[in-house]
Amino acid sequence: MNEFDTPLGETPDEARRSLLRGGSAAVAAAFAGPVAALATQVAEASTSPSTCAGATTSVRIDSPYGPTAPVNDLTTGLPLIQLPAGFVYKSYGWTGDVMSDGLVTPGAHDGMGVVLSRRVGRSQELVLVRNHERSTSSNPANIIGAGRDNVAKHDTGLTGTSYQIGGNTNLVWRDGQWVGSYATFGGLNRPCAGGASTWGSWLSNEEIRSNNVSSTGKKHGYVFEVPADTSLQAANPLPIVDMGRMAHEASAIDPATGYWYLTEDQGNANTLYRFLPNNVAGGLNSLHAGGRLQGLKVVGRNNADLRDPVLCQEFDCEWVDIANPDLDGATLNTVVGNVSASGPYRQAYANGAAIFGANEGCWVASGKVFFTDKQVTTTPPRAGRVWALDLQSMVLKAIFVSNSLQVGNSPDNLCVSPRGGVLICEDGGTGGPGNTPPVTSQNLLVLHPSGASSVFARHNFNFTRTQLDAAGKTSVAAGDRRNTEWAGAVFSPDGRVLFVNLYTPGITLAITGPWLNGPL
Amino acid sequence: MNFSSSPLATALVRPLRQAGLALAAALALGAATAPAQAAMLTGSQLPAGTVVTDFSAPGLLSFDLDLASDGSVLLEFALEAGDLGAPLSFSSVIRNFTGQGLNRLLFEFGGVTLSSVGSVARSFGGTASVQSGPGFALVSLTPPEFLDIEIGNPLGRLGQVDWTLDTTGLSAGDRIRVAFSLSEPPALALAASLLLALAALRVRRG
Repeated sequence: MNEFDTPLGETPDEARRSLLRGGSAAVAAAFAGPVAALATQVAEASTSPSTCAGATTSVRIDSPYGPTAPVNDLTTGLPLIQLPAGFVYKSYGWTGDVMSDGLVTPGAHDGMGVVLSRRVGRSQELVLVRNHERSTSSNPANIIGAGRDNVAKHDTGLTGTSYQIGGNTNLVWRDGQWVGSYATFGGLNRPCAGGASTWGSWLSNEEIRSNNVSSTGKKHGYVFEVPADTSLQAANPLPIVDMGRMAHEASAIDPATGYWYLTEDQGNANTLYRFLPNNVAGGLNSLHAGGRLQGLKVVGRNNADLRDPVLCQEFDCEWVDIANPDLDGATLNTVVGNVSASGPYRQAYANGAAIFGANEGCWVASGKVFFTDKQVTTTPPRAGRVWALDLQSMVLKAIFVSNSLQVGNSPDNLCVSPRGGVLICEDGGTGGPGNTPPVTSQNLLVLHPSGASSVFARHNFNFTRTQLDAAGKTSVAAGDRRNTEWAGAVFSPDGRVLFVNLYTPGITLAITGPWLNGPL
Repeated sequence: MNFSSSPLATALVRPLRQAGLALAAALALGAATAPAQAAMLTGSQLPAGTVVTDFSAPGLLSFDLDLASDGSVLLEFALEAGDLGAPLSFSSVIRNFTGQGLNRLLFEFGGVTLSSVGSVARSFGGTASVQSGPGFALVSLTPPEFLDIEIGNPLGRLGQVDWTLDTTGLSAGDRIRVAFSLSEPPALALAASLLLALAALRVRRG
C-alpha cells in the first residue's frame, strides 16, 4: 500500500479526504518507491568487494549485455555508436547546432553531470551541465556567451595573443525528451571535467597548469561553480581558489561529509586531492568561502610511486596538507625524474604525497572514491588503472589494472550507476601496449567486481559529407572519429538513462535499455 | 463540453490541479464538503512499490502510474457531475521503473466502455499499435519501451489526442474501474484471437 492506496469501495468523500491528506507528500514521494526498487534490483554491482581471483592484471571478458552492433540514432538515423541488443539512444546538442538561446553549440563536449532532478507540473525534468574543453582563440567572438551579459565569464582578457574560449552549456531533459540547451559560463581555459554538487550546481574545472596572467589580471587552472538555472542566478565568475590552481580534472563530493575529492592530469606529478570546505553545509557559492586542500600519501612511504600496481594491491593512506593552493607551478625534481608540477602538488610532494601517472575521472559512491589513472606507456606496459579509496579505512585498492589497450585503453571519466555499476570512458589511441590487432574504436567499459572489463558500447562515428548533410549536420566535419574519446558519462538519478558525450565531433547522447542484464 | 475539455484548458488545469493538491490538503475539510465535479480516485490495488497519482479533472480521467513491477493494477473512480454529458477523456503516463522493456500494456475498463482510442506516445521511438474492444485496449510496443509511455495526451503535447470513455447512462456517484497489466490474460488472448479469426474470415469471404 502507498499513500494513494485506499480500500476499494470507500465512499467518494472519504476517499477524497484520504487523498487530500496524502496530497503534497505523496506527489513529492511519487518517484521514491519505484526508483529505490529499480536501484536495488542488481544484487552484486561493481562497487561490491572485488574477488580479484589471484590475477595480477585485469582481463577482458564477454559482456553480460551481449555483443555490440551499430544502432541508429533516433534523432538523426545515423549509427553513431554500437550498443548491445535492446539498447536505444537519441542524440542532441551537436557541435554547431543552434541552442535555445540562439547561440551555436560549442564543441569539445567533455565532463557532464546531472545537477538537478525536479518535478515541473506533471513532468519530470533533469538539468545537466556540460563542459566544453576549448582552450584559446585569437577571436573574441569565440568566447562562450560573447556579447551576452547574462552569461557569466571568468576572463575576457588576452593571455599573450589569445582569449580563453572554454566554458559550459546547460541542457534540459524532460519526460524522456531533450527540450533545450543554453550557454551558462565562458572565459575558461580547458574546462575538462568537474563534478555535480548536492545542491544543484556543477563544478567546472580548468585543466591547465599555467603561471600566466591575462590582460585582465586573471589566472587559470581553477575550479568554478555553474548553477542549474542561470536564469535565476548567474554563475559566479570568481574561481574557488582554495580548491587549487592546477591541471584539474574531475571533482566529486562525499555527501556524507561534504568533503570534495579532486584529480589532476599532470603527467607523473599528481595525486588524489581532498578539499575540506569551511562551510560543509553546502549551497551555491559556499565553496567560495574557502577551505583546506590536502594530498594523498601512503602511510610510512614518502612519495610512493603508484603508477604500476598489481590488481587488488592495497595501500594504507593518509592526507597531507597543502598550505598554499594558489602557489605557482614549477619544475620539480622527484623520485621518478624532473616533472612539471603544479603549486599544490609541489607542496603535497614535499609532504610525502604519492605519485600517479595522470589522474582523470573521479566519483564517490558507497563510501569510496573511485578514480582513474589514464597514463599509457609501452615500457613498462601501462594502459590505465582504476583505484578505489575506502573513506572509512583509508585503504587504497587497485581495482582495475590494464596493461593492454585491448583490456582498457586510457580510462578517462568514470561514473557509478545508481545500482552500483562502474562505467569507464576510454580516451586512448593506438599507441601503447597490446595494440594487436590494432584498436579501431574507443569504448565505454563495464568494470566487473573481479577486476575484469567488458565492452558496453563502441564509438561508431565514421560518416561521409553526404551522410552528415542528409542528417542536417552540415557544419560537422566528415571522417572517421571512432578512435576518439567518450566523456561525461552520468546516469539519471533513477538509473534509467545514461547520458554521455562523444567528445569529437561533439555530440550528447541519452541511452536506455535493459540495464538489469548486467551490473550497470 | 465544459471549459476543462478544451486542449488549452486541459493544459492549464492539469498543473493547477497538481499544484493545488498541497493547498487542498490544508483545506481538506472545506474541499470535502464542496460540490464534487471531477472523476475521483476512490481506491486502488497496486503491486509493491508502484505509485499512482491522480490528475483527473472535470471531464477527464487521468493518472500517472510509476510502475515498479509487473503486477496488475486496479483503480476505482467515482464519477461526478462534471464527468457526464459528453465522452470522458482518458489519459495516463506510464513510467517504467521495472527495469525491463515493456512490450504490452493491457487496459480493461469496468462500468464504462472505451469509445475511442487516441494517441500512444513513446519516449524512445519504436511503434505502438492498439487492439481494442468496448471493455479493453491492448497496446503493443515494438521494440519494447524502457522509459515512459503516454496514453492520450497527459502532458498537453501538440498533436496528441486523449482516448475517450462512453459514460452514457451513468450518473454522478457511479463507480468505474480501470485495470492495467503488462501481460495478456488467457481469456483476453483467446477472445482477441477469435475476433481476429472472424475478421480474417470476413475478409476472405468479402
